[in-house]
Amino acid sequence: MKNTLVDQILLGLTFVVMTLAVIWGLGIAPPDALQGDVQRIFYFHLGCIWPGFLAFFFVLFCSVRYLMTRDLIWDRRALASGEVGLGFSTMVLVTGPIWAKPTWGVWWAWDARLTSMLVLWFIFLGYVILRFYLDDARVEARLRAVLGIVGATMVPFVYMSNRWFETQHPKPVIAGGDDSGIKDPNMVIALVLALAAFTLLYILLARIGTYLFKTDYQIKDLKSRLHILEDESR
Amino acid sequence: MNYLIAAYLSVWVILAWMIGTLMQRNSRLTKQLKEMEARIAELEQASGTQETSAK
Repeated sequence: MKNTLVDQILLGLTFVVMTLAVIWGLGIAPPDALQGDVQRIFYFHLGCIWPGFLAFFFVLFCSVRYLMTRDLIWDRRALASGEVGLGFSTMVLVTGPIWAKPTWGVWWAWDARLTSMLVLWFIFLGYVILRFYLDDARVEARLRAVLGIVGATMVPFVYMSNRWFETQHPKPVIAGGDDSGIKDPNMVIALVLALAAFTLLYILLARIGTYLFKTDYQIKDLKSRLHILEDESR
Repeated sequence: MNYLIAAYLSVWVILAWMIGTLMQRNSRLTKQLKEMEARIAELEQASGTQETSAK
């Protein structure tokens, strides 16, 4: 794959911001008064999920564009974004229980937030692996677009679930009312850096993914051309 | 502290797996593309030669 200047800048920026996020999250930000060092998991936990949700919203946008235009480029963009979103959601579903065990005493609770997040993860798992089960690119893209829209419309529910229901999951840190939020400026910097690092990473990985899916479809086109040429030469 | 290390480590492992998958896919597709283009060029050349000799 060709490395464009934009990709190189993105890669450099992601590396720098990610390094700063790790330094701030693990070193400079003070430990939480109640939870201690284990609270530091939160920076990457939240840092992953915001770009993850962004990825799913981009899937929604591209899927709608695909259904309107039937241009496969939108399907490729949506799929690349969905893959990265699935990866980030996996990180959230792994880091969450690792934080929960020392804090709640259990790895998992079947509350509205955790369960809806798991359902969202399964929807996007299906969304990503759909391409291994269908041969017709158009049918596959149409089905995927519908699944992507259904999955992405679940995101607001996941986000609001700990406001609408009583959950084991903590109340929102951002815009969660007077009592919520982090007060220490170094904790805020650690969170902002993690959010920026994972957002940059999302953009970079989604760009690479889109390029690779384009190449994949290019190969499929070449395959059909090759079949025609082979038939002619017989 | 062990939980903190486990959480950060798991993020890096998942990230490494994602990047590794993309790199693997890239090399497989590049190889496939080159092979296919070479085969098509070969067949097109062969069909061109056949047409010339028929004339």
